[in-house]
Order: sequence, then C-alpha cells, then structure tokens
Amino acid sequence: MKHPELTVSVSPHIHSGYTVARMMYENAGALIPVALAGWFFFGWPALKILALSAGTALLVEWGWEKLFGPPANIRDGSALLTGLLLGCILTTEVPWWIPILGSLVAITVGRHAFGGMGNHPFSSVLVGWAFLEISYKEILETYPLAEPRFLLEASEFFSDPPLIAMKDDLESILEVPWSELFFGNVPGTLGTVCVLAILLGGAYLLYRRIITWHIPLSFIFSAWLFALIMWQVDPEVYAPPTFHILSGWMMFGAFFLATEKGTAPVTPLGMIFYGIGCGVLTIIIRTWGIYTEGVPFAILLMNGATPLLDRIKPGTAGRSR
Amino acid sequence: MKTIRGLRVPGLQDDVSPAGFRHLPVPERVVLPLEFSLGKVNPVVEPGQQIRAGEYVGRDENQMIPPVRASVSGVVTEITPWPSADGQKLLSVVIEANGDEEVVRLPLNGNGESKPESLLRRIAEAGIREVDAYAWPLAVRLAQPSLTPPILLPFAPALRKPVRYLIINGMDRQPGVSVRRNAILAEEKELLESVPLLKQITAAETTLITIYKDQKLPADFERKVSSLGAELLKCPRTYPLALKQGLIPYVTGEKLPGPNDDARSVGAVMLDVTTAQRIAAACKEGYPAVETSVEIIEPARGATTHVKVREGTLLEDLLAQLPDRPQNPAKTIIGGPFLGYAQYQFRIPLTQQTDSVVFQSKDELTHFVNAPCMNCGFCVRHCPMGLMPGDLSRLCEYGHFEAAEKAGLFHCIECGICSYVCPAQRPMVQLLRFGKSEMLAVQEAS
Ligand code: SF4
Ligand code: SF4
Repeated sequence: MKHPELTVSVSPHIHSGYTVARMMYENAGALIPVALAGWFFFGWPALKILALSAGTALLVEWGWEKLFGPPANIRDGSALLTGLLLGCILTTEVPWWIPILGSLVAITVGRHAFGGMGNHPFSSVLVGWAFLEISYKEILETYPLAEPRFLLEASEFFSDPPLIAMKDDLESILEVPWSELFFGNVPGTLGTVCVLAILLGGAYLLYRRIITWHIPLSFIFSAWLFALIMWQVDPEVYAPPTFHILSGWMMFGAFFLATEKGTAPVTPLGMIFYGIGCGVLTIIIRTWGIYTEGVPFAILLMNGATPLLDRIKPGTAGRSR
Repeated sequence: MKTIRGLRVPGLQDDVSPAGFRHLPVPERVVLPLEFSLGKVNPVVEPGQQIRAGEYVGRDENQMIPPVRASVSGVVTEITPWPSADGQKLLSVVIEANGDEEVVRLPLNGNGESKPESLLRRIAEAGIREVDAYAWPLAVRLAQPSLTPPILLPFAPALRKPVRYLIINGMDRQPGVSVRRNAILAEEKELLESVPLLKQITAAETTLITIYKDQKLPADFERKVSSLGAELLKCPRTYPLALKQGLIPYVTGEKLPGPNDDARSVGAVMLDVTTAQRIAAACKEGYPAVETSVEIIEPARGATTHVKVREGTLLEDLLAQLPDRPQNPAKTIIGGPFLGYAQYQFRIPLTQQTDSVVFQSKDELTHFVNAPCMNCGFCVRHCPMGLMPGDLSRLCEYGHFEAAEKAGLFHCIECGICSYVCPAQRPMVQLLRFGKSEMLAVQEAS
C-alpha cells in the first residue's frame, strides 16, 4: 500500500505561536514611551544615542552569527533589545563612540562570551554599562539639564541628578514636589528619568505577561520599605523613601533591567527574594556606597545569586516519593 | 478546593453545537488489540472461526482485565501483531465482517432491582475501556470496599478506603477536542441512568458531574442531576484540569502521591461521561461495549464530526466511509493536539481508548527547534505539576538523568504545556520523555 506522506513527531502537536522574536520585539516596543520621554526632555540627541547603540548591537550580533553561528541570531530581536536598553541608561552628553563601544562589549562579552542567549549569568546590558562606567566614569557622569519640549517649564530645582543632589545636600531635595521626579523633569540618563513613561512601558510588559509582577513590585516595595525604616531612624541624614523610588534608575531597573530573561529567577518565591535583594542592596549602595546610583550593582549582584534562588522550587503537585 | 496551575487555551473556550453522532455502517473488517497498558488478555478464538458481535475473542484468566468482545459478526481471519495508535505492535484479532448489525447482548438477570455485585460483574464483563490511563481496571476502581475481592487488598490497600467522591467527568481532556461535551448533549439519557447505578456500586458520599463553566448542557440538566442526588461542579476552563492529576486535587483538595497513582488513594473514583454511558448501556440494555465514538477534527476547515463506529475499525476504512473526508492532511494525530500520537499511516484500529483524530494541514504544522533555553520562566509559570520544565529539559538534554529524576522528572504528566508556551520552541516533551526512557532503561539494567 502506498503510504500517505505524513509528518510524525512527538506530542504536543500545537504551539502557542508566541516566539522569542515576538517577545523581544514586544519588549522593545515597551521602550517606545521611554524613548519618547528621552526625546521630550533631552531632545534629538536622545534618539541618536538609541540608534547608535541599537545599530551597533545589531551589527555585532550579525557579525557574530556569520562567524560562529547559533545561538547568535539577529532575527530574534534580543540584540536589538540589548542595544536599546543600553542606550536608555546613557546620557545625551556622551560622545558618539560611547554607545557603540558599550553595545560592542554588551553583545560580545556580556552575552556571547558566556555562551549566548539564556546562558549569560549577568545582565548583558549592565555588563556593557559597567565596562563604560569603569573606563569612562567622567564621561558617563556628565549630566545634561532637562529641557522639556513643551508643556513643562525647565526645572528650577535640579542642576544635578536627584541622587547627586541628595548626597551633596539632603535639604535641597526636600522641597522638590514629587511630580517633578514623576514626570522626569530632572537631569539624568535619557531613558530613566521619566517614571510615568517607564510605568506605561512596564504596564505593557505586565499586560503582555512578558514579565510578572513579582520582580518589579518586590524590588520597588522593598526599597521603599527599607528607605522608610532608615528615614524613620533619622530624617536628618536619610532621604524620604518616596524620593528614593522616584529617582535614579529605580523604576527602569525594576521593570526593564532586573527582568532580563535568563538572568533572573523563574519561580515566584525566587523572584520575590531576588526583587527584595535588589531593592535593599540599591538603598544600601545609594546610602553608604561610593556610587551615587545603586541599581546596576544591586542587579548585577543579584544576577549572581539567581542560580541559588532558582533552587526554591514551586511545590510539586504530588507528595514526594 | 484549590486553584490549579495550567493554561487557558482557545479550544476549551469555544463551545460545541449539539452535533450528535453520525452512525457509520458496519465496516468490512475490524482489528481488536488484546494488549493494554493494564496487561493482556488471551485469545479464545482461532483463525477461521465464525463469530458473532458481542462474543468473546479474548479473556483474562484472572478476570482482572476486561475481556475483548467481537465488535462485528464474521470470520476471524488472523491473530497477529498490528500497529497501534501509540506506535507499538500489539497482538490483535482480525475479523472479516459479514455486514450483520446484530450484537449479542449480555445476560440480564430479569427486571427488578439488580444487586451491586451483579452490576459490577456486568461492568467487568462488558469490555469497557477508557481513554484516560488509569492504574486499575474500571470495575476495581468502582467497587466499594465490601465488594472488592479480598485477594486484591494486600496489593492495593487504598481499596479499603470508602469512596468519598464519585467524579463523573464531563470535561474534555484537552483543547481542541469536544468529545465529552458532545456526549453529554447527545446521550443525556444514558448519562443520567448511570448515576444511580454508580452511586449504588461505589456507595460514594458525594457524587459530582464535573463540567466546564458555562458548558452547553441539555435542557434542565442541573435539576435532573440534583434530583438523582448528584451535584454539577462547574470548573474553570483550564487545561489540564480534566486530567486526573488536575481534577483530583481540585475536587478533593488532596494531591495524588504520584502522578500515576489512582484516585482511590485519596478516596475518589473518577471516570468520564462516555464510560458512564457505556456502563448504563451495559447494565440497562445488556449492550456490550463494542462501539467507540471518535471525533474527526480538521482545524483548517473548522470542521468537526462526531462518529460512532464499531470498535477496531481501521482509520483508513472510517475515512473511506466519510463523504467529506479530509483532503491531503500533512499530519494525522490520534488522541488530540496536546496528548495524541502522530501517525505515519492510516491502517490503525480505532479503539475505545481513542477519542479523536486530528488532521492538520501543512500550515498548521508546528516545528520545534533545537534552541537553547533562555530561562524565561514561561513553562514554570504554567506547568500544572509545579515542576521547572526548563531545568528538567536542560538536564535531560545534557544527560544528567539522575539529577532530573531528583528534580521531579517522573511527576511530569506530559501534558505538553511547556512545549506549547516555550518561546524558544524547544521540544520539551520530547526531551523529558527521552530522559524518562533513559532512566527506566538504567533501572531495568540494574
Ligand atoms: S509536560 Fe510535564 S513538565 Fe511540561 S508542563 Fe506538562 S507536566 Fe509540566
Ligand atoms: S519556556 Fe522554554 S525558554 Fe522559557 S524557561 Fe521554559 S524551556 Fe526555557
């Protein structure tokens, strides 16, 4: 008998159609409000930086794929996302070669040297950034003033990013209305100042279920709680908790950086501990560390703890045998 | 009751129209396997022998495994290994049919009340087989402790426990299949008749018919069910809630000790509505289980047909009898999109363990790829057994089978959700099965 030409494979015979590429492009799409906010406060250079970092990331990924093959894959969108995220944590004052160098390091060292997608233990974005920070601290920490395109007036409160202002003179930040911080009318890195835009993007990530609430919420809440305790202890020395969570990279880190796939735990409890670790370490570094911003180091440290946290298994649906 | 992890997938959501069954004429030949996951029965016929539909072709000496009955009248032509839907070769009896529609009935002991013992014996004799894989035969699971043969008790102490819950499951096993929803609509009478019988046999404290929330039901169904002393339990439309590993914890609040243990170990009996209907037909009409209902699904055309055929009809013959048979399928799956087996040919007998055949067109084929796990956690979010499928699949991929076993590999029920959601499109179930078979091979060798 002539056999019909049939495909044979193991079950299941159906897939959701939700692929890595779709996830990565949606994740990148969530950065649209963030990028717009960058343009709104810092002008066209913001988009130039993003284009340079994203373009380099794509180019490097393409080259790596040509040379070494998978798991490098330019079509899955992960390089694009890495490049865009890196651009978001730079200022508009940096020279053109900074985003290019950062993306180069992020993709080669941060990602592929460790074995590519899913195998790199540390956030590739932050590895690229840390390299720049260590090598070109001065360049990275030159902040432009926020100059809103329309609607808002240029802020009279800050000539330095809020966290630097906090270290210099705690008094100076106390009279700032929270709305300034919420809208992001402050000096800083181009993608991290506007809390409103980040929340919009974060809400989209949550809505599409690309991330769950566990990491961002526990990150932000634990930072808030820890800062509240310190503030209660001595309001003369420590900044109010709400100031902490509205300033710096807190929101951007919680929604976009700490949740980078592959570097964060995947069980609910693991994610919550991870978030708490990030939040508490952030405040510790901000308060007592030599760095003004604690978020990137907190996340990198907790990235390192991820394999440990992933041992916290969800309860298996069956008594153990 | 507890909430269940799992997945809402289109397919459980859309409801069936009351299509009823299309009865197909007696086929020219049937192939009846004698081997089952529970064990095998011995042939009691010889090639060349004349046989009538409903008579024995295979029996178990210990009478534990239900007998196999001829599903058509005709001549036994051979007893030979024959490919089955799950890719094995099973010793099977082939009968050339003579077109006679008559079926020999089971002996009925008069009208009037039947005692539970005799009902149970008739169920055991009717040759009923089930789509879900259960650890024990139907009649053993159903029997209340006083009806259980004492010889079994040392092997299965759980059978000493009285039955707290009798669960008649009307929820379809997996998205894309509507066999049970259709069966409730089309054969309401048999289902309702089975309830008092089953209550009598199991002496269950609580009798439940589980359905999906807002599932289409016959008119006035809820009242009729409660007048029989049973309850309708409306469950969320989540896959794989309809499988025992999902439903038993959901109903009883107790986890099964292992995924393959029987519900009796937590004092529950579970069976599906089509089995209940077969029980009613056997007990009330003396009708042995010689038919099977199969849903023919063609997602590309949005077509689904419910047919009733004699057990053992070959898929090939069934297709020949369908006026609108699927044209040039690229993939043929017996047993549904999530749990079924892909076939490479059509000469496969359809048994009572088969509930559906899916024909996928070329565009619908899924291709899993050999991509690395990106540790996104989607599978962890959805695994109904609370496992970490991503980790397990990596352990199996790199040959760390013992570590995988420690991490719960054998609790995996192969529901396929992790493969379905994995954005990297890893062949998750394939990797996990590979790990399991390697582990079993090691255990057998030692
Ligand atoms: S196939 Fe196994 S591991 Fe995957 S989701 Fe289902 S039970 Fe979990
Ligand atoms: S869904 Fe796939 S890629 Fe994501 S963690 Fe599970 S196996 Fe890995």
